[in-house]
Amino acid sequence: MAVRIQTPGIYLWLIRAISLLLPGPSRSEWRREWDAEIVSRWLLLKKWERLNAHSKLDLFRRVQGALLDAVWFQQSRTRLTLVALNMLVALLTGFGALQEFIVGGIRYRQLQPFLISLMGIIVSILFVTSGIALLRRWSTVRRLITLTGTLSILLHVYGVLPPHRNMGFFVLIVGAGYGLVMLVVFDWNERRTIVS
Amino acid sequence: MAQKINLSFSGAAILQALAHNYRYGFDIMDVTGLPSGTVYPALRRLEKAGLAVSKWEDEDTARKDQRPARKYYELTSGGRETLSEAVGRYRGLERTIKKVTKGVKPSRA
Repeated sequence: MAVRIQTPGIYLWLIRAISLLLPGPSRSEWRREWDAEIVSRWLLLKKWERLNAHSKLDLFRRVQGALLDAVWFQQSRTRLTLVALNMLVALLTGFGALQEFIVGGIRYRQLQPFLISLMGIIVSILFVTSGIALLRRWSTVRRLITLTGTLSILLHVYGVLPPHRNMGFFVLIVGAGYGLVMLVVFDWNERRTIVS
Repeated sequence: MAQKINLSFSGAAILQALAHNYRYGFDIMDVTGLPSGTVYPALRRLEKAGLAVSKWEDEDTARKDQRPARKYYELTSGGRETLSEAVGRYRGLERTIKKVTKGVKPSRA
């Protein structure tokens, strides 16, 4: 199928989306630089009458590189690792909790699975939110991380306890274990950053 | 003041492109053949190390060309020194840039 992009809008939209990965103070200048390069190249190609599928694909490849450029601004690799793990644990927790919510909570109308799965969904959302907070360096990041980590530990420890035993040992290790690791690593990283 | 950094071949190629007056990210990609995911982070690193500086293009110049003002990069004296050391180290560097730059002109106004 032929590529029918008539304005650089889609590339600029991608740049805008990628720019969300950058810390606030650097974002506007970073976006301005990329927008200017893309628009200038687009106009130049149009002027030379070389705006074809090949050149548009080349422009798309260039825009892809903006992602690596944005990651470079996240100086702390520890933060980036925490963000990636937060998203992974959020996905796993959210998936398990949603299943339990639909089956146990809604279909069979059981109160205990309903409440614990609802809590799981909240913890999953909190993992995503604290991941975003880490990336964008929100001032509330410490409070969010503490809340998420503590709730995740409590939820998963409660989840494996009798009599209900909603969760298995592996889920405990992932949920509570990561909650604890996240709290410790975040604190260690913050202290290290302040000292250096 | 410029820091001493271990310059990779890509970093040296970018400095070389800057020395040849290719000053914008996309132009540097064209002449070095490096992808944007390499060029832009390298430019940030070179700037942080004091080997290059960035400036915004004059708004009037850009307006005359009916396009937005771009950010351009220039070599510092430290960058020039580092480049001359790198040219000695990477023997193919000068040749590589010359080969690629045949027929590619800097797109500055």
